[in-house]
Parts: sequence; structure tokens; C-alpha cells
Amino acid sequence: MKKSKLALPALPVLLAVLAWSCADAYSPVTVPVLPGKAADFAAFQNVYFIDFVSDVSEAGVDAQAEIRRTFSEEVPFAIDRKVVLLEPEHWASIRGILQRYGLSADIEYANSLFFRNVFQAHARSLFFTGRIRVNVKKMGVVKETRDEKGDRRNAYETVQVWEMEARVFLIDGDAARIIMQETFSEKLEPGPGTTPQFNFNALFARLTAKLISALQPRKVLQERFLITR
Amino acid sequence: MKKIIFLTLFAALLAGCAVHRYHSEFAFANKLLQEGLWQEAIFRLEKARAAGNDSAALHNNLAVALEGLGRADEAEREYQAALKLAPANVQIRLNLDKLKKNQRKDADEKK
Repeated sequence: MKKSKLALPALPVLLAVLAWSCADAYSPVTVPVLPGKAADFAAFQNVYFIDFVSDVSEAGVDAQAEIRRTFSEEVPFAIDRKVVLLEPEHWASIRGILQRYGLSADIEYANSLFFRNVFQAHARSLFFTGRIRVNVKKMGVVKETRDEKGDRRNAYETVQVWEMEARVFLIDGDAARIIMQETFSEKLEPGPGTTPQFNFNALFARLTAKLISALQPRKVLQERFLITR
Repeated sequence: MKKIIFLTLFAALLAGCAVHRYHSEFAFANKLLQEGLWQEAIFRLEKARAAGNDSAALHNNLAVALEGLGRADEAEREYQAALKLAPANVQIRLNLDKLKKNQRKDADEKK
């Protein structure tokens, strides 16, 4: 009788201890996951750059030289591959026609006879191409100044704002498939006395930084469960 | 009788120490995992395993550390080993499902 009196209150405690010791405890932890690069550049024989379609000439800037320089000198560092400039026949005149349409329509690379021929002529290759728009706006701003007496005056000034939008395509030629398509945009309020070429280069450098980071493997954090007991 | 009690207590003490050593390595590895020190955590967990301790928790946590280093194939093997020891464990299955989803995504992108 005595024994049962002792055992009865101890039983729930024993059961609780047993349950606690048997139960697993979890804690979440974040692990970095590399979802892979934009493309496996090493798997291709060549990486080419085809000139962008642009409407920049209206801004009085030689955009082509700067874009070519970026793709031949800076992008290779990001992808660890040499980028070769490709100038397909008639591309310059096609670009001129496309420019007249204000870049409103995207090129259907897979269905374009021109591009199909280019891709077939360069097997096992990747192609960088795209389009770039530059819009130079003039905006009126109110600036507060002080006159000789020290009184505040509002002065109306006109400032330039440069807007740039670039859409970059990375195409697997064999499959005629776009494997990366990114649109980058930037704005710049140029300082006094800067040349249009300087403004363009400054803006394009910002877009290049974005493009290069888009080409790098991106780290994504995901949750996993640790069993702590 | 006294001798038997003494020997039993001594054996329990030794076993307790051994368990504590395992738990200290294991617990320390978990702390390292929380800090993202994957390499060191793997070292500790391997040490705990070498000491003869094989548990679903150890395999699972080792898999997490391997994932942290981007060694997905090895991580998958460890998750599978953990699931063999604890087939009903939801958390291990969730971890493995997420890893497999990433692997499928990678494979699709490479196609």
C-alpha cells in the first residue's frame, strides 16, 4: 500500500522526464545556397558580344565605343572568359532600322532569320547583346539664393537629368535560347560643365556594375533545421 | 553487496562522462553551425562520429554543414543516412526536400 502511494505522484514526473529526454529539439539555421551562375561560361567554346541597338546617337554621344570597351575589358573579369566582338554582316544597317522604331519592339532572337544564321555560324557559343536607351530631360528646379542684402530669393533654374535603360540578353546560340535577360536603369543629374560623353560613360559604368553583379553567382539564404538534442 | 553498488555507480559515472563528451562536441558543433562556421562544425561532428556515436541528429546536422559549404551531393547522402535512422522525422525530410528542390533547379538551368 505504501509503495503505491509513493509511486502514484512520481509516475507523471517520470513520464515527463522520459518524454523530455526522448523528444528531439530543433533550431532553425540559415545556410547560403548558390543557385548557380547566370550561365556555365566554361561549357561554351566562345563568348561573343554583338553591338547593342541604341538610340544614344541623338544625345550626341559615341556609345558604341564605350559599350564595346566595357564588354571586351570589364565583363571578361566577371565571367572569367574572353569576350570577342562579333560584327555580323548587315547588323549595322539593321540596327539603324531598329533605331528608327524607337526600340519599342524586342527582337525575337529565336525566330529571327538573321540571328539564326549568326548562331549557326558560331556553334557552341554564347552571345551578349541588347539595347540601350538614353533620355536627356530638362527639368525646372527652384533654388534658394541670397541677394546682396542677405534676403532669400527663389531662383528658377533648368537642370539636365540623364536617364539610361539597358536591356541585356545572354543567348545560348545552339538552342537559340535566352538564358539571361536583365533590365537595368539609372538616373544622373550631371554636374556643371560635364560633357555628354562623360555623362554617358558615368551612367553606363553604373549599369555595368549592376550587370557584373547579375553575372556573379548569387547567394540565397535558406532555412534548415538543426536537431539540437 | 556494497562492492556491486560501488562498481555499478562507477560504471554509470564512466558512461555518463562518455555521453557528456559526445554531447559537448555535438552541442559545440551546433553552436558553430548557428554562427555559420561550417568547416569547424564538420570537424566537431566527425569527431563525435569517430567516437562511435551515430545518430540521426548527427547526420542531419552534418548535412546542414555540408550544404553550407556547397557540398550538396555529400549533404544529400548524410540526410539519407539520417532518414534511415529516423524515417518519421519531419524536419530531416523538410531539409532533404529543400536540398533536392535546389538540385532540380540547378539541373534545369544547366539544360
